[in-house]
Amino acid sequence: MINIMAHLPVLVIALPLCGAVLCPLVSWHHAAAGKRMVMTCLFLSLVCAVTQLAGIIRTGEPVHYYLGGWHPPYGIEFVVDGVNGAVIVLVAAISWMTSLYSSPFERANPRKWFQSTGYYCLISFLAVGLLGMSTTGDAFNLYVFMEITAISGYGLIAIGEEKGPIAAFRYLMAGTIGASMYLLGVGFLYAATGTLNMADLAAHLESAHSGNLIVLAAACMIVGFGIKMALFPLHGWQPAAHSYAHPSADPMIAGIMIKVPAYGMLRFFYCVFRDAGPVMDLFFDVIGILGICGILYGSLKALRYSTYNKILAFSSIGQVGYIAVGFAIGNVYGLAGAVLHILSHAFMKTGLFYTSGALKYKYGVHVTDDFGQVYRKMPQTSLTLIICALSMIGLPPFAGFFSKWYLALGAIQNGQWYFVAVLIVSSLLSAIYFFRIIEKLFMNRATVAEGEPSHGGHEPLRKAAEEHENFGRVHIMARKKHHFDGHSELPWQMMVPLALAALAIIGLGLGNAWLVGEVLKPTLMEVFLA
Amino acid sequence: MMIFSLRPALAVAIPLLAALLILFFGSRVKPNTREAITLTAAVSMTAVIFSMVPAVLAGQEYTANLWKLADGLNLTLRTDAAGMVFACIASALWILTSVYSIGYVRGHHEKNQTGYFAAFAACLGSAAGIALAGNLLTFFVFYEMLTLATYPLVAHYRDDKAKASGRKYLGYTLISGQMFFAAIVWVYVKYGTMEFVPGGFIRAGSMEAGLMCLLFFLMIVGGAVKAGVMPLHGWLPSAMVAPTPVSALLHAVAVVKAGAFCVLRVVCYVFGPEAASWCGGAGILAWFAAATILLSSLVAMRQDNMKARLAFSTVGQLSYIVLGIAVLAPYSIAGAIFHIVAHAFLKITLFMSAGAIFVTTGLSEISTMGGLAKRMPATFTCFATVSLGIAGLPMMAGFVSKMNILQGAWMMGRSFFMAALVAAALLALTYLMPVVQIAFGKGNAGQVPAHKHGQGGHGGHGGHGHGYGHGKHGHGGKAGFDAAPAMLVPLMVTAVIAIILGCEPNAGVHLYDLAQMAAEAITKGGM
Repeated sequence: MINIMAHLPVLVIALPLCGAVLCPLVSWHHAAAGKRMVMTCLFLSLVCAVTQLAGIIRTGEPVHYYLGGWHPPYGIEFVVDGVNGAVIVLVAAISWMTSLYSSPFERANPRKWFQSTGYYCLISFLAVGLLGMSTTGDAFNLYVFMEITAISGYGLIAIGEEKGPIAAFRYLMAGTIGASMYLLGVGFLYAATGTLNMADLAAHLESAHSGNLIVLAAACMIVGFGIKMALFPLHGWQPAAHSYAHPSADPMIAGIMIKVPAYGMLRFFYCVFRDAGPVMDLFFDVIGILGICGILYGSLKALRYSTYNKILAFSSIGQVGYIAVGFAIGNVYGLAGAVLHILSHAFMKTGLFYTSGALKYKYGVHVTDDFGQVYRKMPQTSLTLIICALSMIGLPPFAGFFSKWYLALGAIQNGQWYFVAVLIVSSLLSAIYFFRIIEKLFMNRATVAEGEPSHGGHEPLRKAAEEHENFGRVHIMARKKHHFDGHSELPWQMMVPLALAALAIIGLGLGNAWLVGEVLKPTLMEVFLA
Repeated sequence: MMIFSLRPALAVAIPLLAALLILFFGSRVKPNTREAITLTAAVSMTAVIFSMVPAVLAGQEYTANLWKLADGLNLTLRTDAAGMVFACIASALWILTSVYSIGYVRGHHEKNQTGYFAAFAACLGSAAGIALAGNLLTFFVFYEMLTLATYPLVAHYRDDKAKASGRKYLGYTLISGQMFFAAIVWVYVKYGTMEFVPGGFIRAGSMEAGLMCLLFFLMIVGGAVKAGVMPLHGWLPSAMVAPTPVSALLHAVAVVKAGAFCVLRVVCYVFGPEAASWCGGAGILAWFAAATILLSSLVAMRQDNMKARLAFSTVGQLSYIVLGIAVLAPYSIAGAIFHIVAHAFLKITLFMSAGAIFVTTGLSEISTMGGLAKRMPATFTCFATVSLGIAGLPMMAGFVSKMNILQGAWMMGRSFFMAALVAAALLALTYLMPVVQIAFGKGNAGQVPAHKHGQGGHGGHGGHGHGYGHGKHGHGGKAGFDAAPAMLVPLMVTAVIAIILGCEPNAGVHLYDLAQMAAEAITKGGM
């Protein structure tokens, strides 16, 4: 009998892969079956990921898995330790939550079979790519998963709103350049060392002589990962992609698609390049400056918009800067803060995009000026919005505060007070744009929320949808009747992910000491900073 | 001696839980049931806190180490003497403000009452957390929670004016909060600890004097903003747009007191008198406080709006506390801690009176109140008595604390501060006594039907009165005796307590002894 526990690392990826491949076939048989299968596969994948992380925490040892029994440097190796174990759980959790969240959206879709099947296929492939990127210990394999991620991402952005295809095309151009740069970097490293396994690369780079080639490779990597994680100034594709993607896939795209490359950068630079002479000094300087610029640019730019998704997208550019700053600080607390921010920001941004999708779904609103009094009709959505927003600002006791706390701690330990100053300025700027949204939500005059669906008809909603005619074809469904069955604020499939995201933020905030002290810190000390 | 117990945690958890309950069930149950949650929580929280007083007086400390708040730092709640003083005041006054709030919001037909009571409870939970926090990080968490919980109350009316003052409030408090955040990270990295220690854990000379002064002020700004030390007081007068019980909460119970308490914790429990005077920070702070005491009295005299006048009075009175702390003498520290108590009872009476007048007659400008005492004799009697207490006349609570601060200043040889304290006491008379004079004097403000007052002199925040239909339920011609009992009783109770505390500062739960204990621990037995 096969010992399932020994195959967890590959099961986590294989399950959604099966789901993705089989989804169209099963859907042919029964329209809803494919969707349910994808959800089940993603849920099983989440269970496997949690079991795997629990095992790693219990034993304190990283898991090495050799695909097909081929050992490195020839075979592909999966390595899971405390840090990427946590990232894998994050990716699996958000993928499953998003697949659940999506199901009410596709009900109104006219081209039912094609779109819903294709959609779930893409979601599942996106999960495969992201899970693979966070699991693999092989540089070329990472490229493969990066492309799987990107291609499914293009699809999900293109089937979004009216400007979706253009946004997808822009992302396609930028993403291809990013992936190519990464591949180029891998090529240079292969030329210098003759190996593709990350651990093996690290061992070879210590004694490698071709210094310039390695610096060139590192520069390519920064650009490659930088584009993928939307690091300033390589973020050009991101605002449009995050604003116009399919509203039910947006939480996943905005939440984790830019976090996993950030994790990849951490892994590559701290595990592969760390002994490669001048590379790390270059990395610290470049990433620190880009991080600071990104934080300020993203936060300032977000102030200028009143479209909800645009604000969130630019805020992401700033928040990715936090992660970059953590990498640039480079001590235990700095890295712990960066990883914690990868986790917490993923939940915050996902949660915020859930609320954005919910508002579009129910009222078809996307401009924050129209949010007035919506909280009366959608109290729990508003509560999630507030929790996520406060966490984004970095106010205790939510998760965002504690990642900021560790980043600041690490920065002061290194004497880099300017990072703390930037973190503070960014917090205050984000306080401005998030409290502006909250203020509108609670204090503006009602525009869309005044019509009670049960007795007022849908006139105001229809009007709102017509006013924003260019708003995109997905919102046509906002006019359909069965979305407003008055007794609950949203279908339960949307309520559950919303609640889970909020709970995750509170849980990460209150449990951060355990996560950092028991999981992240030991791994970072042993693996990343050894 | 330390007693490990969950009781301090209970004191914090009860109001926070009540806030959640109110938020979730508030709009589904009857208002009476909702208010029952508030009152039950207030009474049980007070019971829990007061039950810990005897042991604390005997020199013991209840400590609750709940869980790890961040790597290497616990969420610690501890009942030291100073914290107990603040916690006792906040919890006891919560009962009275709750009763008063119920009378006020119903009498005034406020909107969004559920959110109002939930935020109120959350404020009190945060205030208890601030009082009992055992280390800086715990303190900061609750301090920011207080900021957030107060915001919906300040912006309660949700019109342009409320929005503006809400923004102003957030601007002041969040910016200073972030500076405080930077400072606590700095302290933690530099000294490796965050536990509050009476007498402080920062040693003089452990850092360059200039840098330490910078650190001192980064932390102090966090407290000084909430305590309204000039020039950081701007948010306080504009927060006057909020309903009157909120003003009472801001001014007497939780918010500004939390600021003053923050100054106390930073100066006496983080830096300690020695380091605070060595780096020069305490000296500068004392001058700012003294200037605030004088200037605020001058500004208060020129306010015609009742609540605005009281607001500037608060700005001045809070600086008494800050000055008492910054003088660093044992007596002045004890006096400052006791002034938290004294000012709480005095100022809450004044604000409740202002609110009672506004709800009963619709009047908010002092100049329109001629002869109003005939209509509301009990309210104005309390107002007059308490005004004397604010000025620091003997037999009133304000006298005990001010005398102590004065004595401390004298012992340190700070004659200018003594002069400022005395001058400010006289100035307080000049801005509060005219109100009494006008009300007891000629005029017929008491006879005119209530809703007609809506026309005149409501330029200020009072304007909200019209929008929310005060006149509809008007007391019109058939005016009863004074204000409604739900408002009148609490304000009479607080006035009586203020007198009792003036005659016997240790009446009840020995708050004066607690203040002296705290001051002795801080100055290592210097009293």
